[in-house]
Amino acid sequence: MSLSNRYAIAGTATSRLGKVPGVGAISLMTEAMRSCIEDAGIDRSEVDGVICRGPDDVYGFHQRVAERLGINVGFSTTMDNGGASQIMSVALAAMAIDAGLCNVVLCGFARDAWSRTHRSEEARVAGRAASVARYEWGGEEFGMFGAPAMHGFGARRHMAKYGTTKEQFGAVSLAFREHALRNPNAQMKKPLTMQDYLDAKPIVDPFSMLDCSLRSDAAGAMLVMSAERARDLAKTPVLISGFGTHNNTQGWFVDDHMLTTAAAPSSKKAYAMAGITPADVDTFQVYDCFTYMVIAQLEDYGFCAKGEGGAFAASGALALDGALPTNTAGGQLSESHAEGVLQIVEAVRQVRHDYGPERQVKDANIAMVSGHGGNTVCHSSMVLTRG
Amino acid sequence: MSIETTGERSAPRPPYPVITDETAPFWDSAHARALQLPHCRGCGEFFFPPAEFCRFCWSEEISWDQVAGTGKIFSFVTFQRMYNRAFEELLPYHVIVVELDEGPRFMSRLTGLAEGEIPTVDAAVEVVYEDLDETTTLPLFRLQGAAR
Ligand SMILES: [Zn+2]
Repeated sequence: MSLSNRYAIAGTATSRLGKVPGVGAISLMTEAMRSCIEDAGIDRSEVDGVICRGPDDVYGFHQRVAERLGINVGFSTTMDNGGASQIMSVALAAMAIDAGLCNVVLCGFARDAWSRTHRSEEARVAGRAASVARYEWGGEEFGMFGAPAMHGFGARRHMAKYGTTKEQFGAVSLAFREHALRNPNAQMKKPLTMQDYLDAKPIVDPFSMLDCSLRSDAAGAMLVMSAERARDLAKTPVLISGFGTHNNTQGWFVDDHMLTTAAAPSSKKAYAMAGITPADVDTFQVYDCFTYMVIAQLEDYGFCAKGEGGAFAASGALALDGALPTNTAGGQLSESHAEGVLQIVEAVRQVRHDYGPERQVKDANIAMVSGHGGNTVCHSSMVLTRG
Repeated sequence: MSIETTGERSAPRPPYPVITDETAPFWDSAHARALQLPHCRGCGEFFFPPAEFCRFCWSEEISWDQVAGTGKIFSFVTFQRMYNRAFEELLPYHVIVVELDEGPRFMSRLTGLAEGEIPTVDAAVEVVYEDLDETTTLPLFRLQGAAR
């Protein structure tokens, strides 16, 4: 029996976002999870599952988190799929409940990336390269460092094959900044112009500073339970209508994975499970590690044809009153970077109609959420519906 | 990653290749200025990264054979900001994904560009070798037809 619409997100919350010195990732996680339980209006004694992800160098993150929450659980684990993990945490929660392993599951992600990289100048430089262990074919001996360059290969190829322009990448950056200005918790608070974008500090061409997501201290959490149980609570339940995942595990350099990403097969599964098409989506909360990845996903999710993502973004479609209001809290480019968990939080809030008119997507009943990561090739998708 | 420094030198040592039993033939062949890649006897494909069996047909009959050293730029990025002090004086430099004529794709650095010359996707390239020291050599690439 399909899991579609049988499980729900009954609560959601974030920690403090942006620059939160003196607070580690475990504490940010528990801060978001406590607020999440409060948002749902249940007692922590009901929670019997924890699925989360933290920095890669904290072993058994889920146990450290549950320890501080003071709970034993029927099911818990840490996810290891980068930015594709957070949607899969929610999906796995529904599957674990369905399997009878637990009933009420806290899901979440936390990182203290800003604090870790701002302790000293050396930490700042070292932090630009990947924080994970060196891979033997990672290219460091050639001067290859960091996620911006890896995604930049895709951006460069998209520009060469489809004529995508810097200004079209800029349209993504500007749209999300505009949304962040409406979000008092967003890390970036300054308005942006196209000239500001084009003049931004170069990093790894074709990316400058304003193509790259933020370094943030940030956490987000969701509470998953049966839709039936969620309907008894005070807040509007948000139904998990569909999910999908796909990993181009043969790598970013193989076939044309840089242009047609794992988002294409992943989103297909989510649409099919939810029984909807791209035209039914009221708001898109997309994994925006880099501007290019937004353009690739607009195509791979079927919101426009392959190669037309740049023009679609530049058309104004991503604005709050556009054809596809996208990353309405500011995204990882301007709100805070928490490996996609804040995209899920924002989707829940939008379909619950939590906001006043300055931030609310009109008649938002169906949200599509994306997650991307895991050595550039892992993807997850989720359709959330107002219950 | 950490910034290493050696002895009294103020310039940090560049990151060296990770040389293991599995990766050594690649680096040894670069040092010999005759780049080799794993070559499957089962299906005839060259493949990368090296492994104990072919990722196409799972044959374990693998030999390391020389490649022509020519190919094209599958994609490239241009580093403009310093990530590691050892590369500071090279800025701006181009890291490429090279696609060899034999098929495999992997990362390298483009070298030998004239002042202001900009690489392009699909441009033809050929291997050149740069010694890091008396035992370790990097296979770099330059645009085909570039002056020596
Ligand atoms: Zn083979």
